[in-house]
Amino acid sequence: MTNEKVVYLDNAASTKPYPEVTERMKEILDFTYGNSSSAHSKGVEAHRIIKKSTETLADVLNCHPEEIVITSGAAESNNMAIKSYAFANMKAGKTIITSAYEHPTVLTTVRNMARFGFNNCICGIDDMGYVKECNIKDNVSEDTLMVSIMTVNSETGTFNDIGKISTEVKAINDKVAVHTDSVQAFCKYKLDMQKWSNLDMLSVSSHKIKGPKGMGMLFIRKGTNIVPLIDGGGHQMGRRSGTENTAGIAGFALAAQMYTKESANYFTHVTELNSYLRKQLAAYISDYIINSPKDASPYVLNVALKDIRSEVVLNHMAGKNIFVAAGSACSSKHKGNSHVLEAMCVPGDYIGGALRVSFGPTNTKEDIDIFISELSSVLPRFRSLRKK
Amino acid sequence: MKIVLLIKYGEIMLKGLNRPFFEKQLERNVKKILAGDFQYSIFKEHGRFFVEVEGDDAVQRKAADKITKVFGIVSVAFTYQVELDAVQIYKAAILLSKKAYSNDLKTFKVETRRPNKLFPIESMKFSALAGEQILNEIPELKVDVHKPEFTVHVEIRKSAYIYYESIKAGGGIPVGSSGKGLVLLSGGIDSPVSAYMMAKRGLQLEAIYFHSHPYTTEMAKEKVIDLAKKLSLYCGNIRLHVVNFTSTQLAIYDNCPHAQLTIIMRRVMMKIAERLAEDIHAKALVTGESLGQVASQTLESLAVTNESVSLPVFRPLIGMDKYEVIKIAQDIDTFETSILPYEDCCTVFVAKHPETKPRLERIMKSENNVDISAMIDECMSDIEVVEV
Repeated sequence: MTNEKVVYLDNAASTKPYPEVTERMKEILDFTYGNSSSAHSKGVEAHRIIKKSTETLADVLNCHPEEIVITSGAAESNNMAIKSYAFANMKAGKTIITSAYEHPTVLTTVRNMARFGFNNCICGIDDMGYVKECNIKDNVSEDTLMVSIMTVNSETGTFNDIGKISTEVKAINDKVAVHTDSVQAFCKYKLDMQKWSNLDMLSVSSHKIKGPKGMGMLFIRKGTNIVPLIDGGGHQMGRRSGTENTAGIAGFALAAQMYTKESANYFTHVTELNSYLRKQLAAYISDYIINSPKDASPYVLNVALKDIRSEVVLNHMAGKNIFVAAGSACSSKHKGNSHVLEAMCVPGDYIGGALRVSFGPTNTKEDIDIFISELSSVLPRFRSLRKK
Repeated sequence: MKIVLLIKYGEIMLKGLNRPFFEKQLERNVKKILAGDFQYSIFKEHGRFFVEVEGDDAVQRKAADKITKVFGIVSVAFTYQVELDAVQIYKAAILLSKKAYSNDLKTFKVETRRPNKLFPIESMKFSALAGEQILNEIPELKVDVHKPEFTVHVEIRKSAYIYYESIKAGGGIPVGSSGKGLVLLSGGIDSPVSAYMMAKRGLQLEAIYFHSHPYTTEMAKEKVIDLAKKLSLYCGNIRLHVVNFTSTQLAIYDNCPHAQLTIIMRRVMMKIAERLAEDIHAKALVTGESLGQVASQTLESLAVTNESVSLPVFRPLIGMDKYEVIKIAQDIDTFETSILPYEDCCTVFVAKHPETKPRLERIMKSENNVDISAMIDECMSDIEVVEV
């Protein structure tokens, strides 16, 4: 029997936009269709919306609007942070430091920079996903060009204090640029660019916070030297050319504003859900381990079940209108285990059975009850199927 | 000058009294593939079809490309259709030669066929005359009757048809002229190729796919649907029968020796396919098996699988190398879809050491552990039909 009710517990992969966001975007698509670069009133109208939206986004990060580049999403933001900075500062150093728990948009980009003569240094993480600080500090040298460490890990929710890391890095070599992928932290934590004064770049995505897909931004601190990835008509102060997506930017900004406004309430709510899920797992499920530390982002809980393949659970759940992720949604196109969990040395009989449950503001305890009840009813069957 | 597509068919020409049957089927198939997308008219002359497609060169080429996928046809040529008047024919021949010359082709010959003997000039003589005319206009060209870089073909029928460029088609005999078969389609490389090959021999096809949710992903089912769509360009519309195979597979897993899982599962699949074939009036089963490829395709395994049904089982790949199969899969554009990584996510149903030399009596004894006829009845009552 399929539940009528949709239990969506995959909010770290994507979220349902606020109705206000889709309404606002439709309105703009219908009426404010001018090109923001056009000199006539239709263009000016679009330009105003973009300006206002960028100010809103800057407010959320407590930075200047000029420090924001609107992108097509986190993948572009991460690519831009690494490539645009590296190519502009080739004489400053050749080594890019990152960690084993980064999203592929950072990890693959850093690795591929070898094609252009850059070296990489991938720092290990501990069994709860924390980047080993000593690793970073020990590796920062005169040759270090930049450091890129994720704020909140998308698979486990592990929170790394990037404010502290950036300060420590700068203490060793103040010429090193520090970047963070804050996709899972944006609007959920207060990200204050005045406070994190040693951080140079920060990537963000819109669709994780109930905004539209295809939108994101990169914070680039004033004075940071970059070359654009996309040249052309000189949009966004020459940092990224291409006609601006008026509706997308407005939708993104509105979502960020709404999410931020409710951020504290959401945080309390998902914290309750997270501990309720932990409690229910303990009560009804056997042989599992939790791969998210206690102080991780409450929005994510990674649980690895012994002796099963997580895809089987995922497929089964989807058939019941319950949506969770196996490891990380971005990895579901690839076979094999999560690189994050491997780096955390999750035991072999658990790693294949890792599920990521991720919450949003509209989830309820009932959602968790439905999930747990389904999981406990199918686990014995799935576990009886061991390869013989 | 009017351009028409000249369609040549091969094997059908060798047929005797039943040739009109094949020609009619071919005409139906050509009409079906053009329906909806093109404005066209078809006319026939002895041993040839002509299709006049409304539209520019790009539209005509698109139509020609579609027609080359209709089995029974060996080639499609872009011809000028002119009156039976030598001067008109020369004009067309010169025009074509200029085009060929502009494509850097420098040696040629003219070949004339004259089924219409009312035209007063004999073939050989006319070829010589036309060649002369071409040389007068384009003196840079040279005649080479043995290995010309291009050949100007002149066909003297009710009208004259002149062409030099033709696209090779698949050959074979028209789909539907050999009755109906049921192909066991998986998401792999082989079964789509086997379907293609049997369609080439005139079989109209329906397909059966065994889905084991949640042990196979929804994406795997989507992939099979995509493959059927790609095949339908050659085979005509395909009705895909998706059998819910999960409980059968589990019952076999729970009750039969694991080394025999695959072989018993295949026998049950064949039996279900045979039952379905009966219902849809298909007279043969088609599989992608190739001798010795995997454990279930050794001679002994094939013999045991074969024994499960009495319908003829066509295995067109039986004597082919994997590389030969891949080459065809690439040619018919199924390869890239087949290698998408959405296979069975759970390999528990494949034994670590499957039997390679199964003995029928032992397999049948194991089958007594489960109620196969009840399983088949259950599967037959849970089939989703997808029209592709």
